[in-house]
Amino acid sequence: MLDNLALGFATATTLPNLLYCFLGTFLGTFIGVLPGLGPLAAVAMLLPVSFYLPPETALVMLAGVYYGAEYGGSIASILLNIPGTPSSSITCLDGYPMARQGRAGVALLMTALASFFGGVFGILVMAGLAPVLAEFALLLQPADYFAVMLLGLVAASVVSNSGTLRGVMMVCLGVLLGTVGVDVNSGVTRFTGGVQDLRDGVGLVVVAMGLFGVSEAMTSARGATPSYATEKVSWRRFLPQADEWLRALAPALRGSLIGSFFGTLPGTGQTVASSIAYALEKRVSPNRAQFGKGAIEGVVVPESANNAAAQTAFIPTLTLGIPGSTTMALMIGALMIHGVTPGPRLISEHPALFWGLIVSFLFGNLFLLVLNIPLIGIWVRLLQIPHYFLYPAVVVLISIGVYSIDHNLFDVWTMLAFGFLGYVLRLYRYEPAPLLIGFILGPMMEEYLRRAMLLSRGDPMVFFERPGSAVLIGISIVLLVLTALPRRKQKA
Amino acid sequence: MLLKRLKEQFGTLLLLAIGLFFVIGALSFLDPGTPRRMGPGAFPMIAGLVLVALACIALVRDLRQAADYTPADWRSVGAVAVAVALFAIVTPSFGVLPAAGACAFAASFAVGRLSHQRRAALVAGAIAGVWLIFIVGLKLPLEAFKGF
Repeated sequence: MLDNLALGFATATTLPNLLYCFLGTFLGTFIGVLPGLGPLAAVAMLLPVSFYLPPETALVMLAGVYYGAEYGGSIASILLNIPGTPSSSITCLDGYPMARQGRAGVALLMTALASFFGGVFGILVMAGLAPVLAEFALLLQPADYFAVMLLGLVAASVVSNSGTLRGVMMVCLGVLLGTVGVDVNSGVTRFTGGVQDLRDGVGLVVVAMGLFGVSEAMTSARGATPSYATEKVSWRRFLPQADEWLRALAPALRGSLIGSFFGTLPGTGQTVASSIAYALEKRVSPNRAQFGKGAIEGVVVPESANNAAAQTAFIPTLTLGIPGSTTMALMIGALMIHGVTPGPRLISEHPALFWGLIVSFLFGNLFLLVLNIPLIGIWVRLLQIPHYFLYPAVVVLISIGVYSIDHNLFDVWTMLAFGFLGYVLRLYRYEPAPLLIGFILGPMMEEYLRRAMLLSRGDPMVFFERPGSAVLIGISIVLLVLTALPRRKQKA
Repeated sequence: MLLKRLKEQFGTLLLLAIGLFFVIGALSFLDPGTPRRMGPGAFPMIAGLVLVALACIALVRDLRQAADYTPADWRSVGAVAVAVALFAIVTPSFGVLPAAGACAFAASFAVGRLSHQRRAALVAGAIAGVWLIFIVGLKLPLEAFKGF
């Protein structure tokens, strides 16, 4: 363990890695602060850049972008009541009231500290748990992998705001879109209509940028420039009262625990972690009457949960090769491009990459703390960019970003098509997020399903005979039934 | 009346159509294989059937009560779509920087009223920004200008 950490330190502290870690957290925060652009967009935009870096550096930078954007999202939540990222929407509940009471500085400082706390907690969990899980993962068979992914898909559809039925439909649509292209087992092309550019399927970044970038610009371009709730954020106003320090400690710990747990589940991610942590804290906190009116715990809990989950999401991603969230799927893409296959053997085959990444998370979180407390004024000014400059700029950025991945204009046209699809689906209350999870996990699921069926000689009972997959499929079914049933009991 | 109700269900109907497309495509062109050796058609067929079944359930459930949906804002949609399309059209013949300018110009019509000065500033800013970030900063092998 110590040897490993020493190796990690050696990798993370080389000058280029430190530099790119800093650059990543900085750019991530920058993009995360802008309303409507989250970690997914941030990582997707910087993905092409990382192709030109060595694998460790590329991952360190992209990871920095990822948790930087998570952090940046909370700044917009507190100051404008507009979540910069979906997962920081919970922070609005108490952060914005605090800002209106003139305590924006306190809220921002506590957010930075809680994020740091949660992040470090998540890193420790990851350093302890990932190697163990990787050992264990070697025992898993295709049926178990299939069941893990099924649970991930169910979790993603259950938590979507538009209800379980719609969530599952979007997952199915994503799975179907994922089948476009050459079938790896038989070499047959599927659903390409003879178009050569579709032989390798549709790129993940193309789908993600279309569904989130283009359709977001179509939806929000006309919105008004948000107006400020706060006066100037000044230094004196940063320090919380003495008793608030103590009050924040237990919530931070609870938030980190919950966040670490949900981060490791594939398909759920930070939004679920922060909302569940907030809901729970609202029940157990001695200060619950203040929740929603600017309680400091209400800022600390979701932020610590959110950042802990951001770190632990790397656990299934790196040890099982199953992305913990949509952003993690892009990370897997980045790894694959560098010839590193995520899976149980990653830690033993690429120890420098794995441990270097973990140690760089520590530095990255430190950078975030350093970056955010003195530079808060810059981020605040960034929020004042009028929307009539912001959205056209976003459209230009995503167009050129998608084009620069493969220098293929077909990708730009496909992205536009997905933008339309995402826009229309949004109008009819279908959320695009589960679609993306289905699109990512679908091809892997098919692969494992076929392998499992081959191993069992065509007997589908294999999924219920292996204890691991039986339990996971059981949980998925219970989740589906519980959330899909009409809620008659609540009315009575 | 029924027509209006169906219009409210356009999203669900679209999903139903996509599901049917995949099911029919899988059935007619792809080999389903056997349970032991599943062919390329099996998985899309299963996923497609689930989507079709769920879309039918959603349709039946939502038709009973009036479904709410947001009417489309065609001005923003059109402007953003034209912007992305212009980028794809201008790039091969004139290069990335003119394409970025055209894209920003078209996209600026999505945001509502905008003065000429601001629109010009936006286009200039987009071109300068793309040049600084992608060509000077990241040194991506993109063709800045072409055919000049």
